[in-house]
Amino acid sequence: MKPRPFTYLAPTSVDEALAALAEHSFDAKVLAGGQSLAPLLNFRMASPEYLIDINDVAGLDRVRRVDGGWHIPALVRQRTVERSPELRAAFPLLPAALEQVAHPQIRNRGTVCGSLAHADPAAELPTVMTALDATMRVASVRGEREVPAEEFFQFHFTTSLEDDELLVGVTVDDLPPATSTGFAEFAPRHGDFALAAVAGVVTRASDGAVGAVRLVASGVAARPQRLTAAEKVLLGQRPTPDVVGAAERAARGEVDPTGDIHASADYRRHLVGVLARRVLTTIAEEGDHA
Amino acid sequence: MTRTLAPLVGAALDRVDGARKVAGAAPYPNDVRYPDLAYAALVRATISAGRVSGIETEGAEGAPGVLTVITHLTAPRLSRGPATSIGPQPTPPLQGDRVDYDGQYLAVVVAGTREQAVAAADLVEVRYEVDEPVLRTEDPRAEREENPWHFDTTRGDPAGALRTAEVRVDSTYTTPHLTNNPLGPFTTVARWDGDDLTVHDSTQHTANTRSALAGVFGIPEERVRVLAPFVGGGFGAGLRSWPHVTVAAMAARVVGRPVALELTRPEMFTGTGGRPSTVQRIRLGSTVDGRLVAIDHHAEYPAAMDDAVRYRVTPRGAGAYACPNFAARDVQVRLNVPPTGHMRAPGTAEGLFALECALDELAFRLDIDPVDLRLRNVAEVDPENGRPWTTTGLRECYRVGAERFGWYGRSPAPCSMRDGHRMVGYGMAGVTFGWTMMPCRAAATLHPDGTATIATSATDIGTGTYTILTQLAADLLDLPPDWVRVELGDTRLPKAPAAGGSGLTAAVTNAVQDACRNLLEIVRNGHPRGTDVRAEGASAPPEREDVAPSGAFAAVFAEVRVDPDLGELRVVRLVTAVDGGRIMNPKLAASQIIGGTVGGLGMALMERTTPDPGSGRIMNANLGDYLVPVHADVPDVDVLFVGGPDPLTPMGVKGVGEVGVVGVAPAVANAVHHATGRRLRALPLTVENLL
Ligand SMILES: Cc1cc2nc3c(=O)[nH]c(=O)nc-3n(C[C@H](O)[C@H](O)[C@H](O)COP(=O)(O)OP(=O)(O)OC[C@H]3O[C@@H](n4cnc5c(N)ncnc54)[C@H](O)[C@@H]3O)c2cc1C
Repeated sequence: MKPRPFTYLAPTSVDEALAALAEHSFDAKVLAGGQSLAPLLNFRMASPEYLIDINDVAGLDRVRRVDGGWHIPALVRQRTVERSPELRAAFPLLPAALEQVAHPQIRNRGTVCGSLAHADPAAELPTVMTALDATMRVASVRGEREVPAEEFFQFHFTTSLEDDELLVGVTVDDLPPATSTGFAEFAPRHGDFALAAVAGVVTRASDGAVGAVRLVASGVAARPQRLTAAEKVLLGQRPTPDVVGAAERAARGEVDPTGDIHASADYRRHLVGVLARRVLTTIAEEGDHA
Repeated sequence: MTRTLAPLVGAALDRVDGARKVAGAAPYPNDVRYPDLAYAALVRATISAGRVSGIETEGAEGAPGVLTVITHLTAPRLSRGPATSIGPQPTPPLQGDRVDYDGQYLAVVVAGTREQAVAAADLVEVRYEVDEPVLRTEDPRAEREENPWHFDTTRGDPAGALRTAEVRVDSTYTTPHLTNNPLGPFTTVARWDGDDLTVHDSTQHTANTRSALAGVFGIPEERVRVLAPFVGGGFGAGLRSWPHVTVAAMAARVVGRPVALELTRPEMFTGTGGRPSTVQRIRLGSTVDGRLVAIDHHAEYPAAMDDAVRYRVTPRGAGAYACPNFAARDVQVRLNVPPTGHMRAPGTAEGLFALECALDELAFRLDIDPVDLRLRNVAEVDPENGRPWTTTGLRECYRVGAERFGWYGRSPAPCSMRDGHRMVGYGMAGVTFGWTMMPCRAAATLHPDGTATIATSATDIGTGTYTILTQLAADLLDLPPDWVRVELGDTRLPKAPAAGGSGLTAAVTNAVQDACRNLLEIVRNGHPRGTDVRAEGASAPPEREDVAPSGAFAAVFAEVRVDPDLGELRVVRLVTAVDGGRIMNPKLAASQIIGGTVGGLGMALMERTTPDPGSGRIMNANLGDYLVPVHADVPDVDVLFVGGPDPLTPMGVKGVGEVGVVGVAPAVANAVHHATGRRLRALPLTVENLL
């Protein structure tokens, strides 16, 4: 199929983009890499009257160092982040997850922020950004605001972005010392959205016990789900196989996924447990050697 | 004439039509345009059983660009075309108010553009009287037909032999409904010129589309011309003339303009057949040293309510194992499902999945190597009639395949091989594929400029017919390949059989050889200069009482890795050794086997057309939810050809179009057993079943 006719706008600055968004708000859609939006348009699941293509907007295509972290603006492609030596070193979680997003051709076009704004509950990046406690930089003609990842993702394909707002970028703070991360997912067919995925960020105290932990699952709820029961099991404990096993059981117990033709609810629950164990085991080994 | 140029038959010539295809210059049916072309869109039933109690077309008729809306109330009365070797023609569409399956055509909207037709089709409102559909073969209301096509066979005393056998296997296997899904959406462009009908169609069999349409409209075959020079794949979906072909021709007649009807992907799932689901019980009896004494194979599969195709799940001669006591029984069960069809290696792929898994179970029970078990039971003669095979490459397939794969390096016990935390398994299966050949005609013309044209109505559905006929004619006429033109896919050309049953290459190469010989004969006897010289040739299945024609043989070897925590199953290596008789072009033949193997991998791991259990509607009628392997899922596929030309026909070709698909699923399932000790008897082999 083909999209319904729309008016195409191609602003060249953030201000122009925000002005267009303010004017057309609900009737407009932002076009970034188009890897999710173009199919939606073609199937007429989205029929905006205005398409605001931000690809010509200046200054949004390079990651940059900011105070205590890294900023990924709206036009940075997924593949750029995956291959950036600085970001790979700072956040190994990003390439680990990105390598499993679709296929390279799609990551060459698809943006990091586009995936976040799209907010597919099965997507890798929202889960990873939640685990990294990233901050969304959101702007409109009304002003700018910062939204923590956990508040940004609200429901299936729903974020806290207002109709006139643009996600101008996402900022990820440097990880504290003695922090290890891990990511695991499973898709029966390569390149597909995972049936479930788990991302973990663990900071150890000086005695080796878990001082801080964020464990997040995708594919099991309407948005990235923090595995708080499993986190509670881990906090203050050394991540021994027994503790990790207890966390696995807690993770399995606290998710309530739904089944579909690709996998049953039971299998997804089982999967979250196994993936959590794998992530935590890698993290534990890494931390023990550090 | 002796050849002065290097022989081309047997050479890995690139596809002669490759450049045109890559450049988008090869005309597929949906590329055909006429100046006044109109477009059709279908309205399909949204219930699986019942009747149409009302159909509102005014909204659609008033929509922009709409030329007409045809329903069962307004459609011309149609007849059914003549049955063929694969069974009766599909029921003509729009002839009554009865609904037999979800997706059945209830109306067609014709408009000036495709978009207008699609938009207007949405405005047609249908009311139903809904019946409770019959959706499962276990449903007591389902009508069962034993031995529907008279293929059932019994030899010896299978029941008695099973009773007294030293070792027995008794297992039930299931395979799911599958959909062929060629990449090119099936399209028909129909145009009437008085009583003459021209149809551009996605078909594997132009002659069948012609006789089907002639029958439907009650006109002589000579008035129907079917063109299919290029078809975007078929995998058997194009063997029948489906209702949409008739709808397009009917619509063109009603509006008095040419009409194009291109099926959507969801429509392909209900409108072009597919592999029916099966439930199969196999009982094997054997001696302790692994000689088969009994095979009893029973298969049940669904057929649509008002349709049926000639079908056989239980393999002929039980896959050609030597076994004195044998029974094969098929039961067809009528359900409210879309018409079934023929999908690459129809019946054989399902039947041999069950049989080859059962043999693996027997090998395990007997503690005999699975290859050795098969070698002990190879049928040296056709078990159905005792005649020697024309060729017997099966032993060679086992030997060469096992060697290349490193089969005997495995440790035989299940769960005994690992790679890190992953369990490793080796599995294999043997394949004996049925032999098919149909009569075929072809023409060869030598032009004054020294070039030649080969012509036949056969189709090239991506398999390479253009290329191998170029090679063959170039050899026979002693011409460079680019001096040979091949014309295909037009019923005005000499009549060829279907690109199906793996029989076209044998039929058409023998016919072209005959035509070229006849042409050379004329040339040798002298002919007027400056004119075309044309000769026809023909081939027919040889009738021999002394030998049994053997189809292709194959042996498939698979290595899998299973993650025991996730149930994740990956196939990491596949080796297929094939006896396909003479290989016209090793590159194209290997492509056929690789493609078949990928299809077999889909069948093993992911493909399943899933109906909603309550309504019967297919829930995954799109390529996002009907999973086929992507490149990254496909491991190294190593293809080896063994054997030589089949002495049965002059060209010695057996056909390699389907044999590649058959052994993959059982080889993978057997490898899973070797890896995990788990015997999965249901396809696809899903993660959940592996936990
Ligand atoms: C075959 C295929 C497989 C895929 N597999 C995966 C997978 O395994 N995992 C996965 O996570 N994703 C997958 N994707 C989706 C892919 O990652 C998309 O690229 C991503 O979801 C969207 O990024 P984009 O830049 O293409 O955004 P677009 O498609 O341009 O936009 C997506 C949505 O976000 C909005 N939007 C985009 N940018 C902004 C912004 N700056 N501010 C406000 N709103 C914005 C758009 O209006 C639209 O609603 C797959 C896609 C395809 C086609």
